[in-house]
Amino acid sequence: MDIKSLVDPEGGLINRRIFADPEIYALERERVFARCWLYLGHESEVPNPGDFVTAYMGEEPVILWRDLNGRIGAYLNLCRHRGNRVCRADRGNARILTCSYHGWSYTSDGKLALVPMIDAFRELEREKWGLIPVAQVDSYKGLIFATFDPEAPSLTEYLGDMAWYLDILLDRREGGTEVSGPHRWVLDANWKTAAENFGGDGYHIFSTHGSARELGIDTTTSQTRQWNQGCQIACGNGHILVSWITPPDGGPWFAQPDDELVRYMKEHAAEIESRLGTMRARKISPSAGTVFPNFSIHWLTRTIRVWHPRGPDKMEIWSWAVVDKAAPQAIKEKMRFVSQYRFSPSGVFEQDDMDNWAQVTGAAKSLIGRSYPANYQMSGNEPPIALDLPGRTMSRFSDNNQLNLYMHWAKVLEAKNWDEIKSAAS
Amino acid sequence: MADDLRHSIEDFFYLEAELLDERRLREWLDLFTDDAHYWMPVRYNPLDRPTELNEELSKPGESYYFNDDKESLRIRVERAYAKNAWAEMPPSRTRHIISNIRVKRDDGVEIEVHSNFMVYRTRMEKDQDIFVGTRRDILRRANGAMKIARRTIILDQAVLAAKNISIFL
Repeated sequence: MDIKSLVDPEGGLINRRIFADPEIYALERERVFARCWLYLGHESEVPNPGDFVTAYMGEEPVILWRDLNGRIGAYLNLCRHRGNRVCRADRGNARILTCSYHGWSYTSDGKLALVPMIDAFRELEREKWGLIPVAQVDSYKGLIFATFDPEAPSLTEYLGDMAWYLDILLDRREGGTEVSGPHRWVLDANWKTAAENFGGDGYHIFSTHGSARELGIDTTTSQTRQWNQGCQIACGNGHILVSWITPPDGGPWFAQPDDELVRYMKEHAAEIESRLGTMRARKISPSAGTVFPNFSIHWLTRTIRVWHPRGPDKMEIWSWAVVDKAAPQAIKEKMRFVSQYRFSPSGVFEQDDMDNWAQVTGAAKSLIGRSYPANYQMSGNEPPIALDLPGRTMSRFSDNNQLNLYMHWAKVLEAKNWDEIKSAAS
Repeated sequence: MADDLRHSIEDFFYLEAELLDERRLREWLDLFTDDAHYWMPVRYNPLDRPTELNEELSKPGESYYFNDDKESLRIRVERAYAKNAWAEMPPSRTRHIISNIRVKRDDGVEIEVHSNFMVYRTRMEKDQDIFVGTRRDILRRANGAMKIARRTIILDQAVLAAKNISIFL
């Protein structure tokens, strides 16, 4: 299949097949989800030895488990014997997990510890039958990512310039962040519809989310909306975000969507600026972005989420609220409320996104509809205020980020190995 | 006496269900006290069999579907009347079935009542969701009427099998 032909950046056209085609999805499972770094969980979810959460990498069930020495590992949630799930809980603490089927037991470092009636096996080499480890696991400021591909570049290299922007959520205060969640729910839509939306779609706010804003609930301040300066940023490797550019007298509080959080940010502005530097504390304020492929962030409402694929036309959404660990309890509560009142299954912003993405996916299944391409021709009506930022800065209301995402996606789907992905870096 | 109380609570819940199903949401909101708290935790699968059901639920300080006071609830209600609140445009068609009403406590002013709900939602051509669970309510008597002072909604699902909760349970 000629993947590149499905994405036409010059014409600003995307072939709708990419949102529903089973053949393309099969290739995505192999080349995107079995190869890229995927978000698994937050260190604060597994603070103690033995703590685990079960999660997914694409459609693969995974156990994220902190061993008794404190090291975090990730393993397929699959007993090496017959393949039953080793763990049926969503979270917990265990030194050993025992498969329900025949009782094979594994220690928190993934080793096979106990096999009932082991003498009846022909020379069972226990060390060869531990849980299948995920090839690489690493974390960036609390966010744990993993990849099935031993050849994948390091997480630091993979995140590239995006890490600099992630700090703006993750590293404002001493001690970093902690999360609550996840919320988990389902949607009949292709995962990319959400990834592209979070990665650059400032355009949809007015139509999709008008009702919440008219009732005074927004993802930023009215002051920020009036100032109305921002940009899209493409960081490379398919990572994209949109950011507000704050006015000269702005600060880390400028775009915060809640008065109490504005006061909190003002109170800690000096610490925030000393950690992030002037540019990230005073000149920009990211709103939303996507780490390729399926991890998205909304900085101002402090939500992080994974769009887990569940087939070409379905996804399962997992989302968490992120708060500063050093914040007082009441502020943490406020942050969680601001986050979940807007973004969660009951969120007054997020509710309204769901049908859009489901119906975009539906169009990709329409025989006649999919013969007409989707329009990504918005090129922006003004260059952004010039700031010396990492990545490529572009007009905020445009499809530049989205096309960047799909060009990278096409490249990853076509590339046979990481050298090919890296050689044509976007 | 106990039968009378349960009967009047039943009438109250049936009226509430009627207001919700007929989308008279502003009238529905009037059924809540001014200091009302509307709380819906998230549910998780535990490793060990919990001694109490509460151990499966998110606690204050963790995640929730709803953690509303009357004002944040009011904004949700007003949104439903907007023509551009797309999750409810076109509106959901709901049927709230309330049963298994148990009076747990009555101190003369406040009554703790647990009940089960099954809420069917259909929308647009053929979207369908079924929300099933338990409500734990604190009802308060005021000026001869009953109002909801606190509602806890416990959904039976762990992964929510719906695209959103844009209705009230």
